[in-house]
Amino acid sequence: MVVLNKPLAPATKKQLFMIHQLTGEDTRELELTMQEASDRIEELELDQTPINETPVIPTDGLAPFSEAHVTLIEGAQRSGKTTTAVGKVRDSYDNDCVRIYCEDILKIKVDVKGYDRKSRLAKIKYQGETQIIKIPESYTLYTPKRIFSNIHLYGMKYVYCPSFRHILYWLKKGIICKGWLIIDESQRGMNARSTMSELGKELEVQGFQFGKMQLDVIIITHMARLIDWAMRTIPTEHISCTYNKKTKKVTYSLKKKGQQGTKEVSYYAPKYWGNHWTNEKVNA
Amino acid sequence: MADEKDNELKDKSKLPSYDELAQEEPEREINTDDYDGGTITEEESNSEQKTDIQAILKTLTPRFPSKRLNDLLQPAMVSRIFPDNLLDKNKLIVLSMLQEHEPDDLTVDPIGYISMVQDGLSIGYEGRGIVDRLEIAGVAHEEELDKLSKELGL
Repeated sequence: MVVLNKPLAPATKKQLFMIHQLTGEDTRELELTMQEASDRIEELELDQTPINETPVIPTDGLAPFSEAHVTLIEGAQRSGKTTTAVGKVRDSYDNDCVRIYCEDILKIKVDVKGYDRKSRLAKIKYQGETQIIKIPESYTLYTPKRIFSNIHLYGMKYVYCPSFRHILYWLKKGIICKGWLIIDESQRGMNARSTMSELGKELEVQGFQFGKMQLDVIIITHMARLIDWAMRTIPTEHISCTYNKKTKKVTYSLKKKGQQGTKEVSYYAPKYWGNHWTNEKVNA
Repeated sequence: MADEKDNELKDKSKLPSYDELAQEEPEREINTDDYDGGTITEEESNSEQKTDIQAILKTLTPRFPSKRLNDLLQPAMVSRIFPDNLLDKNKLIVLSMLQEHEPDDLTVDPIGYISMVQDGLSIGYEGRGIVDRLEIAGVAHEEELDKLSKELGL
C-alpha cells in the first residue's frame, strides 16, 4: 500500500480515470478519498498482471551472446547509412548461407570470408587455408538466421516491421530474436525528446535486453544525440558514414567498444542498392 | 490512433510465427558497372585498425618511392635541421639520388627528386616535425576525452 501525503483528500480526476480504464465503470459520481482510490488502483493493476505468463526465452540450443551486438550508424542525409546497414546484413546472410551449404552438403566446418552472388563463388577458410568454391546453381541457399527491418529489403527473406509499435510488441513477445534487426530513422521511435513517452520507455527496457534475444541490432540515425540517451549507451560499434558521388563509394569510420583506434573502411555502394530502395521513407 | 494499433496487435490471440510474417522478393536490378570491389565484410577485415594518432601520423609522415629516399628523409623529418644547413642538405641528397642513375638513363625525374627532398626536409626544419607530433599527441588525447564524455552524454 502506498501511503499518500493527503490520504483524506478527494480522489483526483486522474485516479478516477485510471479506475475507469481498469474496470470500465462510470467513475464520475464515485466518492473516494485519495488513499482509497490509490489502494483500489493498486489492487486492480495487480489483478490484471498475469503471473503465470510463459517466459520469453529463445530456446534453440544456441549459446546466448556474451555481449550485446548493437551497431549505431550515424551520418548526414544521403551519406550511405542505410546502404551500410543493409550491406552488413546481406554479407552476414550470404556468409551464413555458405556456411550451412558447407556443413550440410560438403560436411566440413569452415570460416566463410566472402560470397559473390553473381558468380556464386565463395571464399572460405578451411584447415588454415583460404580456398574458393563454387556453389552449384541447383542448390538453393538458405539460412535459419532471421532478419527484421522497418525498411523493405530485396533478395533476402525477412520480416517487415510496419511501425515502432510492431517492433516493440514483437520484441516483447519474443518474435524478434535470433537474427538481425534494422531500425532505420530510429530517432522516429526513440527520439530523445520523447524519452518519457510510453513507447520510449518500453523501447528502452527492451533495448537493454538485445543480447539476451541473440539479436544483432543496427540503429540508424542522423546523429546519436537525436536518440534516447539510454539507447546511446548500448551500442558496441559506432559507424560514421560519408558518400562520394563521383566514385560511388561509401567511406565509414568504425569504432568498436573496448578497442583502441578507428578503422577506415570504403566500399562500392551500388553493390547493395539492389537490396533496398535508397529513398524509402520511414513514417510510422 | 496508437491505442487502436495496440488493440489491433493484442487482439490476435495466437502469435504469428516468423515464417508466417516473412516475405522474400527478388533482388532489384541495378547496373553496378561491373565494379570488382569487395564486400563490406571483406573491406572491413582488410582495413587496418588505427588509433587517431596513428592515422594522423601516417598522413604527416609521407612515404617515398625508393628505399634510399626513405632511409635519408624519414629520420630527417624528426630531427632538427638548422637553417644554415637546409639548402646544403637538400642539394647533397638530390645529387646523391641523381648520381645513382646512369648518365643515359632517360627515366630519371630530377624535378621529382628535388620536390620530394624539399618536402621531406621542410618537415624537419628547425625541429618543427617533432613539435608538431607532440602537439598532435596532446590534442588527440584531449579529443578522445571530449568524445568519450559526449558519448556518455556528460
